[in-house]
Amino acid sequence: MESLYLYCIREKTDNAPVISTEGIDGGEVFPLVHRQLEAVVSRVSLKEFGSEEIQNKSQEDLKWIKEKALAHEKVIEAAAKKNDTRLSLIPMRFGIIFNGEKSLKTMLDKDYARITEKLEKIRGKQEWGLKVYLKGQKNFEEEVKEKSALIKKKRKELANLPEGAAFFMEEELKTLILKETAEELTGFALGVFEAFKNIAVDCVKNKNLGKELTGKSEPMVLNAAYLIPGESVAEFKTEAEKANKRIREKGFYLEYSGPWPAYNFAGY
Amino acid sequence: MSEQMAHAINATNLADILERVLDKGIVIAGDIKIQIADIDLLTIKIRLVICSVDKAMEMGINWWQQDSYLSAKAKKTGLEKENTAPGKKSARPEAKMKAR
Repeated sequence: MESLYLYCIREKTDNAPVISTEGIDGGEVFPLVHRQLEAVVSRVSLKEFGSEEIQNKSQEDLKWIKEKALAHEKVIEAAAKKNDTRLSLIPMRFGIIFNGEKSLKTMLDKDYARITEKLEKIRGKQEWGLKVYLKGQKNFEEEVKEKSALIKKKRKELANLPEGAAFFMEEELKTLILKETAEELTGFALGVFEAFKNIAVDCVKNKNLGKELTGKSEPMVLNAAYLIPGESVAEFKTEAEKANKRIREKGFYLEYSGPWPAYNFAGY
Repeated sequence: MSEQMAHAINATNLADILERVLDKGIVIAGDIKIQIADIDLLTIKIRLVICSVDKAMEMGINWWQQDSYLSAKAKKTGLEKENTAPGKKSARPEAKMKAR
């Protein structure tokens, strides 16, 4: 039996180009039109995708996950393209499958009002990601040490203590330095995050990704996403470049990426 | 614009894509849902995907030798350990979605 893997829901579009990107298991991707919406889907074998084997794969086989996630994203990128414009669409999370057209259309009917409202809201806007990394961790810590009145005070006290008592004070000082550095870092990241707020219509601060996932040796200190009106994208980029110069002096750098489908902002 | 659309699939972009597709995309109730491992778990294990085992060896990373993902027997205890680790979120992606 065949079922339908759902990539995204987009507005019904006249003359949208055929999506030539291969589906999640190599199949043909096509828009399933329903009222004023198009569900972008491909047929998958229920025998395969409904099986326990695939559930296990999705939990354990990272190569499989990576391949499928990339295929999913590529289809959505292709579905968003219409000549030089980007269509408004709601990108689904990986792994949502319907037993058939009927069941998919039932869902579209049920959520129709909310879907169309959301599509309206994100039309003409693009998601952009912005990540900040800390390059000079040591330098940053040194700067905090020099700046913090509390740390200075503790250090002075420490210098005047007899050896035995100094041991405990040293531990206390170490903890204090860690705490102050973390606070300073959080404040710094928040400052960068907020500097772009006025360009965006919506923004979200996500959890920082680990080094294992980014493949970088520097820790991520900000992982933000912004929903930017098409006409403000140039401004966003200029500001990002400027900010990058600014934060470099302090041992940070940033990277921005986009345009992305509105993964972070299309929830309805 | 079309130039920027061509996301090169380097490690950074891979992280961007995985985070979005597996953790941020919109969840609706389909008839079947392929349950992806929690992104927290992925973060720890993804090194396997990004660099080859040889490269990891070079870098002196050898944790995969006892990796629960590669050893079915160790799987259960490994997961339990992961989920009960202090401060470790074990929530399913759906739950996290709401928290946002």
